[in-house]
Amino acid sequence: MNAPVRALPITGGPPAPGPPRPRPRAGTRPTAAPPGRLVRSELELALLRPRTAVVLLTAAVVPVLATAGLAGGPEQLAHTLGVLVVALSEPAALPLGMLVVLVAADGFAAERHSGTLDGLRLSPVGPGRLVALKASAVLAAAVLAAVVVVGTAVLAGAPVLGTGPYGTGSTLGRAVLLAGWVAAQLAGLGMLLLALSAAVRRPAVVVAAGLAALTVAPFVTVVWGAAAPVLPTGHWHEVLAAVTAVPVATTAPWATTARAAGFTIAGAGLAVFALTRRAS
Amino acid sequence: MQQSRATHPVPDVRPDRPPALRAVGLGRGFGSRRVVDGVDLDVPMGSVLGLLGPNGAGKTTLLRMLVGLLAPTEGAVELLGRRLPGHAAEVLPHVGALIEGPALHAHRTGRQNLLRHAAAEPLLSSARIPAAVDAVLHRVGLADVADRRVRGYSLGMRQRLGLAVPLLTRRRLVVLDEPTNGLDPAGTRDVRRLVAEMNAAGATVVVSSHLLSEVEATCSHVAVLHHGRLVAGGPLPALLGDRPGPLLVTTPDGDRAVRVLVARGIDAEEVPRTRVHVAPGPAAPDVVALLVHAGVAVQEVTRPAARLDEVFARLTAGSAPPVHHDDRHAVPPAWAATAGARR
Repeated sequence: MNAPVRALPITGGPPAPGPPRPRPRAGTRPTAAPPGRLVRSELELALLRPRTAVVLLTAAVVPVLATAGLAGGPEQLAHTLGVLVVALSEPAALPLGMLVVLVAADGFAAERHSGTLDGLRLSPVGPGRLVALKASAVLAAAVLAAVVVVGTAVLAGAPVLGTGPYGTGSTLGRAVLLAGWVAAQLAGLGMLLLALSAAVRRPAVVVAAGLAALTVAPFVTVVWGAAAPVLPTGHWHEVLAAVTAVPVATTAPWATTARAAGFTIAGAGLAVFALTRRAS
Repeated sequence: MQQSRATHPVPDVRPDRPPALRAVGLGRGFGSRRVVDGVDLDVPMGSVLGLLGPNGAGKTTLLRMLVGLLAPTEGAVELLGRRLPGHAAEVLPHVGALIEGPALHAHRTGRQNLLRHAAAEPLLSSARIPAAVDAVLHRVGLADVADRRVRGYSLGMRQRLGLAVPLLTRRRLVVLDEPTNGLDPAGTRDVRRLVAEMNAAGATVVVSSHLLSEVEATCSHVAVLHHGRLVAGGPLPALLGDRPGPLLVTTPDGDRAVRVLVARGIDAEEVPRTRVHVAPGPAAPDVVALLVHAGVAVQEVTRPAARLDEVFARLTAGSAPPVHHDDRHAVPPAWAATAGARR
């Protein structure tokens, strides 16, 4: 006959009352890795890969094609700023925004899918620092895409088409303005997608949402103009018109930049919320 | 002669110190399904705990809660004397874990993956990272393939790389979920060695496994999880020696020996190769005296050491048992009795 296996000391019940126990010295050691080291590691992971080059090259093809198309085209756009207007118009937004979409999808959803997010959480990197880390990659991708497309437009357009009625200084100034504006718009979109990435397990969901924002949203604004203020790509054409005006009109650029900043902040907050909820 | 039992390491268990890991009434449900239910667990500092349980017993869910990756719906966890999640930032740098398999970026090399983990380690200074990564790559036997993309690694190589992560710094607690998955026998031996080394360096190790032979060879303590509940636990020798095992009597007259013993109310049956299996209960000298008195020649009497798979089978009766690497001995049916559930 077999005696049942006894409960043995390892499986204690609730802690027995007793004298205060000595605390381990865990609190005397560093509790977080240096932020700069983490950000560098994150940027390497997100951007130092062949995919980045492929996506950026694809985006850079658009201003080159625009330059070729505008050579001998309508006089109003046959200059470097015209190349920028064509290259940054809504139909060309897909290759422009693709890098941000992919980085946002990788940020949480892909890392969660592969289990690598748990490694960061165990290190430990808390939800706030995690979002800041991932946001740094999204912002870097936004700046990179903007600089590559605007830079290619200037480098391709200036020698072939010249600067037209704007002159070199004004063209460069407006190009820098456009680069900053594009980076801000992409960052806003990227942070919203990052929040989605924090809430789901499949990176494909984030990519699909990003593609919808970049390709379908512009048509939505045409059909239903009231939606434009809340869509990441709404009012882009107005900004492009404002930047080519003499003097530069500031209302649309400021309004859309403020909107992008709002999206960025909201995306960060939603991402922290989603991460905290998923851990519970 | 007694069957040899695996040699257990003698860990530097420190009962005078707070447990390395404590769970009190820990529970977790997903919808209406209870996956872990009311687990109380103290893992002594310096021990190697083997967490056993059939597939679906809730081992991984329990481990995820123990390291703070999953919030419990009931109960609390203390790591190294500090409560989670409030003190996670203080204690988690001292905890290494490999849970649900190695988590790696397939498009990066083995070295890049480790550098990424190392960058997030609070206890590693930036200057020490390259040397620490090189050292663990050597330690897990991946130095030669460190600069190959993980996409091209075999399952065993990935598992080794996953095991390298907890080795990046000196940990006080290491939690390993099925660390020998996908490893060949040499790899399994290496994991056993690494666990022993980490323990010898002062780490408490919690390792879940479905390989009973691994747990028997590696662990000083065992906890058995069944249907989300802890049904037994304690020092491995105590768990195995909890009750006397059967006797095996070698005799040329097995049929007569069985008749003599059964006539005295002793449960016995003849087994191949001139042996008689006597169910646990009577003392060996009594059985020998009985048989000799009845004129039965007795060549040898042995009491094989209890084995973990036998204890496990009793505790988790009705579930598919974990795999025993050296499963030459079937569990005697008489032992597959009702589990002595703790709760």
